[in-house]
Amino acid sequence: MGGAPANTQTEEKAFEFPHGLFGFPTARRFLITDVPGGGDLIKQMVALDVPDLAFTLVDPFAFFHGYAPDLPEAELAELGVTQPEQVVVMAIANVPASIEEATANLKAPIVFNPHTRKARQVILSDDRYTTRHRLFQKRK
Amino acid sequence: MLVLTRRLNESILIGDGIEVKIVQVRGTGDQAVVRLGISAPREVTVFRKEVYDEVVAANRAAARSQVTVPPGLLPAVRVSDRGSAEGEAAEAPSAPEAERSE
Repeated sequence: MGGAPANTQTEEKAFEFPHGLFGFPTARRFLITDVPGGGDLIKQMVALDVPDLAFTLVDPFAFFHGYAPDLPEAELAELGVTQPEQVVVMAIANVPASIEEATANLKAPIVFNPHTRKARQVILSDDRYTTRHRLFQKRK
Repeated sequence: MLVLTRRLNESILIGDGIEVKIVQVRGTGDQAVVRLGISAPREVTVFRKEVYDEVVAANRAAARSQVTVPPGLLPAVRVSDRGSAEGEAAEAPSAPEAERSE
């Protein structure tokens, strides 16, 4: 399947990215959908404005237990966040054919505010995090 | 591109609220290093360009025409979900080790 069907229901459920994603400035609306068996840990994010564009999202806190993104207040305010607990943070995963090579981008997580349906990708200043953290450790 | 010459401790202003000041200059030629002080409103995001470029590249690399989760991924996640230290799921360190690109 390509892009999600653009009916009213999906549009209501969509998250608005006022700035798009980095590298995809025209992708302003995404639908978050379940991945079979993925539960809350793995989701997919399908673009409504750009055909055939989708991303795999992972719950960064489940995969990386000490993950502590320091989200800039101004960027949270832009999402209409009044309390930090309002947001849901997900990381974009790069899942190549070889699963063991899968990585998550902890440097630029995506912050969702389910209350306002707004979201944005945030680049953290924390140098501990990069765009490529392995989801699974290398087999020796 | 607008090119301006500035001396140490001189600034440029961009728009209404952004000031970029030359804080330190050391070295010459290819070894020259300039430290900039940036004052900007909180809603203005400031990054090193290479960090921005890296995020753009990471997004492009992660983009798919459709998401298919490979069969081996989910069982591994379930292991990690149970909090088991065994199995394939990575035990994430508190400051995860980065996979550096070449």
